[in-house]
Amino acid sequence: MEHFKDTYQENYHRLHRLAGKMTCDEAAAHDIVQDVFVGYYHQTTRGSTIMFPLRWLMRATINKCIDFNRYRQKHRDVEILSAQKVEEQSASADSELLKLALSRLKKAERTLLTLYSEGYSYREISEYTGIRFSSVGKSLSRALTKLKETLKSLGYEMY
Amino acid sequence: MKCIDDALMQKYIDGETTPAETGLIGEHLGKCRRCSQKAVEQRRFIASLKDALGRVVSEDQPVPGFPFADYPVREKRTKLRWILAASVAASVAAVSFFIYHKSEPPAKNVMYLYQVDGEFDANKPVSEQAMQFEKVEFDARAE
Repeated sequence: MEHFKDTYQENYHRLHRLAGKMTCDEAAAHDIVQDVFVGYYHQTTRGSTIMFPLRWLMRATINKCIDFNRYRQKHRDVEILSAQKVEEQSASADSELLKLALSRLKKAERTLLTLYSEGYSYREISEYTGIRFSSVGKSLSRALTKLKETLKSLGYEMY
Repeated sequence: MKCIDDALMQKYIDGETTPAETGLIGEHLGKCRRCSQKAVEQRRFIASLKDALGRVVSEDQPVPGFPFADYPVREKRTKLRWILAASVAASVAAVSFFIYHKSEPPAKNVMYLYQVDGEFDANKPVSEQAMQFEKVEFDARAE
């Protein structure tokens, strides 16, 4: 139990930041992280050992964020068919444009960029995403290029 | 040296290249204006991206307490699940056992071999002939 509390205290911020960047929704990020820890708690108290807790937590968080984004996308599409257009017009602030651009990336690319922006090394990124270590650089540069182009097409200049 | 491609440039910026690569790239950047320009631009883009993404989440939130009481370990449910799984497995096994035994036909062919003792009288019926029968069973599938 003490072990669990320590893990919780140590990793909460890390996971919350990750989930916040992945979903761009603070409240959802909080729910996701809580959910992940509930899962972790059940796993550990039922007697199964998790060899690499950090990796487990990161992967669980990433997967839950991807699920959440998919769910949100689906329901938004049902609500307003031309949601994208409306959003484009209303999204005048830079951060909104960035969020929009991020939501247009593929889920793997978005995960990659989020982890990268959190300052993880290539080794860690490959561990959490399952991308081969040798191809992290290539995938990352492609994702960055794609993001740059998307931002440019939205009329947003980073610098 | 040729100009540096995007992937390698990215690795160089993130400090993930090997020492040998770093040396070569540094040397090249000193000579090639276009590549050094590209490196500077990429660095700036990444810095601003990290900055912008960092602003998406708010900093310094206190860690909320974990509601232990709401999440007791549900042992009973686990047991029930096991019992359910076991009973399903047992019923499947029983059903498959019966089906297997019902569908299995008596797959035997029977053949009677006869041997005539003494002379064969063609005017008598078969039942009155002095002959011995031998019953031979063999597996129908063997053929």
